[in-house]
Amino acid sequence: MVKQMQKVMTIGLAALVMMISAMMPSFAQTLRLDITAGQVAPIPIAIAEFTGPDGLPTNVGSQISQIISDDLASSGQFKPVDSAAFIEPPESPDIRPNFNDWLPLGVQGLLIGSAFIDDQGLLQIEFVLWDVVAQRDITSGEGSTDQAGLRRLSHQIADFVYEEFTGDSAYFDTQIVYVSESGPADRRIKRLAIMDQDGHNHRFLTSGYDLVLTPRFSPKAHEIAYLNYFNDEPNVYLLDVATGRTERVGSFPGMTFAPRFSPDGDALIMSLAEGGLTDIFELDLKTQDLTQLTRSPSIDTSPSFSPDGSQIVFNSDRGGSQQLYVMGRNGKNVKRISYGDGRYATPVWSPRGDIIAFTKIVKGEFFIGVMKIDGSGERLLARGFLVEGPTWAPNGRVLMYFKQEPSEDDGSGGEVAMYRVDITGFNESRIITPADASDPAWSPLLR
Amino acid sequence: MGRFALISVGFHVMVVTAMTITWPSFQDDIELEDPLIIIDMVDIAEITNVAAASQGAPQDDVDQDKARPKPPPPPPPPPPPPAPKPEVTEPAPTPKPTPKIDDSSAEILPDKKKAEVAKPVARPKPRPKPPQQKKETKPKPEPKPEAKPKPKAKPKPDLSKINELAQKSEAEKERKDAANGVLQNLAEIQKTKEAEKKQAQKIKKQQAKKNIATNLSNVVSKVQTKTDAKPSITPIGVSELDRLKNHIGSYWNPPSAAAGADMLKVDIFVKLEPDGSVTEARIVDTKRYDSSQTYRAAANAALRAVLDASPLPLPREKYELWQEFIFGFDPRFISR
Repeated sequence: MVKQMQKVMTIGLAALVMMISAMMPSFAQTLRLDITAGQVAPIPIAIAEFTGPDGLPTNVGSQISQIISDDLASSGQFKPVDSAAFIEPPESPDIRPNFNDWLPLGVQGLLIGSAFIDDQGLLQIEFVLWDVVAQRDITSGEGSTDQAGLRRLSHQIADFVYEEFTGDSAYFDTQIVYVSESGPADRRIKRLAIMDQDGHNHRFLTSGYDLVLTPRFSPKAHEIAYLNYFNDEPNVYLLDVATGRTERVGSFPGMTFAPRFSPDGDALIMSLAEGGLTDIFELDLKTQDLTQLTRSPSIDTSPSFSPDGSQIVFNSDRGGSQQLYVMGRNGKNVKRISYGDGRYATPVWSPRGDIIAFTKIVKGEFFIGVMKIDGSGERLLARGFLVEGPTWAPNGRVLMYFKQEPSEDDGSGGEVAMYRVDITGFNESRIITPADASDPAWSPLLR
Repeated sequence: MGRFALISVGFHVMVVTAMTITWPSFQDDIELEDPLIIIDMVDIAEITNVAAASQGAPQDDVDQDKARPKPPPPPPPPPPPPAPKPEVTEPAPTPKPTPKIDDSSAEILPDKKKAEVAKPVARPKPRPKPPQQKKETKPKPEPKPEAKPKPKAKPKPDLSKINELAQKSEAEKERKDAANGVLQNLAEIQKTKEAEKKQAQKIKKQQAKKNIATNLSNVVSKVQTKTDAKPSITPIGVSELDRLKNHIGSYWNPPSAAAGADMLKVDIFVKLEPDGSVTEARIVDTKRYDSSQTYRAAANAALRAVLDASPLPLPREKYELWQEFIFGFDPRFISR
C-alpha cells in the first residue's frame, strides 16, 4: 500500500512537474505594442574614400566614392554625409569600424572600401557596407575590372547600397539612349547616342546621315528599336548596341513608327499608317507575323505594354480629342482612362505596373504626369513650354523626359535637354549632354 | 480497485495543486489589448500621479538625457562580441565580362564572405545574412548631435513644487553617484584597458546612467511603499504606452520607396533592462528576412529604430511587466 502510494505520488509529481513546466511560459509575458508612426527621410550615410594597401585614399578610390555618393544623393533616398565630417577616415574594409566615431554623425550606413591598381593594371576593389546603428555588416563584396570599368563597378556598388537600405531594386547601373540634336532648325542633325544613367561614357550610335527618332531599349538592353527616315521614308529599325548593326523591321506598305518592345523582348508594338488610317500592330520578331490590334478611323498610336505583357496603353483621338486608352493584348476591351482637361499623349506603363506616365497638353502648356492604370490619381510632376517623352527607370521610381525652351525670332533659344524627376515630383535635375538632347529611353538594369 | 482509486486521488490532487500554483499567472497575464488598457484608465491616473509626484523633474531629465547624450545602457554582461559576420554570396571571380553569380557557398561560412562586384559587366549578388540576434546593448557614444528627431516632450502634470524638491535631492544624489560611477568605472577600466578617451567617455556615460537609475529607483521605492499592500502590479497605462510609441517612432525611418513598402509590417522582439535599455533585439520573421529584400530593408530599419531608441522610457516599478516586448512596426502611415 505504501508502495502504491509512493508510486502514485511519483506519477502525480512527475505529471505535476510536467504541467507546471507547460504552464511556465505564462509567467514570462511578452508585451506587444504597435508602432504606427515614424519619419520618412533620406537615409544619412557615410561613403568613405576607398583606400589602397597603405590605408590612404587612392586616386581611383576617391573617384569611386564620389560616383557612389552622387548616385545615392541623386536618388533622393539618401543623404551622403560630407567626408570632411569624418572623425577618423577608415583605412581598410577589413577593419571593423569604431562605431563611436560614426554614431555622432547620425549616419545609419557606412560604406568602407579599398581600391587600387594591381601589377597587371587591373582595378581591385573590396567593400563592406555597415549598419552603424545595429553595428554589423549588411553586405560586402569585391571585384576587379580593367580601368575602363571603374564607373560601372562604382554604379554596381551604389546599387547594392540602394537595395539594402530601400528594399527596392536599384537603377544606377543603367544606360540612357537618346536623340542628340545639333545644327539649325531647318537642317537639324539627329543622331542616336548612348550614355550611362549619370551622363558619363557618352558615345554616338548613328552617323547622323539619317534622321532618327524615338529610340526604345529592348528588355535585354542589347537592342534598340527606333524610327529612322531612310530616303525620307520613316520606318522602324533595330540596332544592335554592341555591333552597331542596323536592320529595318519587316517590310510593310505605308510607314511604321512609335515602336516599343514587349516585356519579353520577342515582339514589337508600333503604329502603322496606311491610306490615312493609323492603327496599332504587334509584330512577332521571330516569325515576322503582324497582328492588327486596333481598327478605327482615328489615329491610334504610342502603344506601351504593361509589364506583365497582358495589356497595352495607347493614345487615340477616337473620342474627339487625344486621350489615353487601355486594351487587352488582343486588342479587345478597349477602355478610356484619361478624362482630364486637355490632351494626353505618349503613355508609358511603369515597370512596377501600378501607374502610367504621360505627356499632357493643356492650353498650350506641356506637363509630364502620372496616373493610376484606371486613370485615377493623376499627378503632374513637371511642366514647361514643351516637356515630352517620359521614360521610366527600371525600378519605376524615377522618370526621365526632355524639355525644350521656346525659341526666339532671331533663332536663339530653343534648347532641348533631358531632365529627370522622381515620382514624388522632387529631385528634378538636368542631365548634362554634349549637345541638345531629346527622346530619352532608359535601359533595364545591365547586370 | 484501491489502486485506481489511489491513482485517481493522486491525479486529482495533482490537478488541484497545479491549478493552485498556476492560478496567479492567469491573473497576472496582462494583455496589452485595448479592452484592458481601457479598463485600466482610472488606475493609471492614480499611479501616474504617484510616480510623477515623487519623480517629476527626474522624469523630465530622463527624457532629455535620452534625447541628447544617450544614457548608456549598462555594459552588457558579456562584452558585445563583434557581430557575427554576415553571410554573403561568394560569386566566383569571372575573368570575362559575363554575369556570374554563385550562391553555393552562401550558407557555409559564418565568416565574412565576399560578393564579387565583378568585372565591369558581372553583377555581384550578395546574399544578406540571416538577421543575427543582436546581443548588443548598444554602447552609445555620448553626444548624439541632433541627427535624430527628439522625442516630443510630453506634457507633464503640474508638479512644480515637487519638482523643486526632487531637484534638490537629485543634486545630492548626483554627487554621490558621480563618485560611485567613477569608482566603478575605474575598476572596469583596469579590466578593459581601454584607451584614455574612451575611459572618459565611459565615466561620463556611467554617471549619466547612474543618475537616471537613482532617480528611477527613488520613484520605485516610493511607489512600492504605497503599493506594498497590493500584491499585484498595475498594468502599464495608456499614457505610458503612448509615450513609448512616440519615442520609438521618432527613431524610425522606414524605407518608403519599394512597391508595397507601406504594407510591410515588421515584428521586433526586444529584451529590456530595468532602466529600459535594450539588451537584445531581433527580427521575428527570419524566414521572410532571408527571402525578401524588401522585407529585409524594412526589418533592418525597424531594428535600428529600437536600438537607436534605447533606453526606452518605461516605468521602472513595473519592470516585471515589460521585460520583454514585441514591437510591431506598421508603416501604413507612409502612404497616407
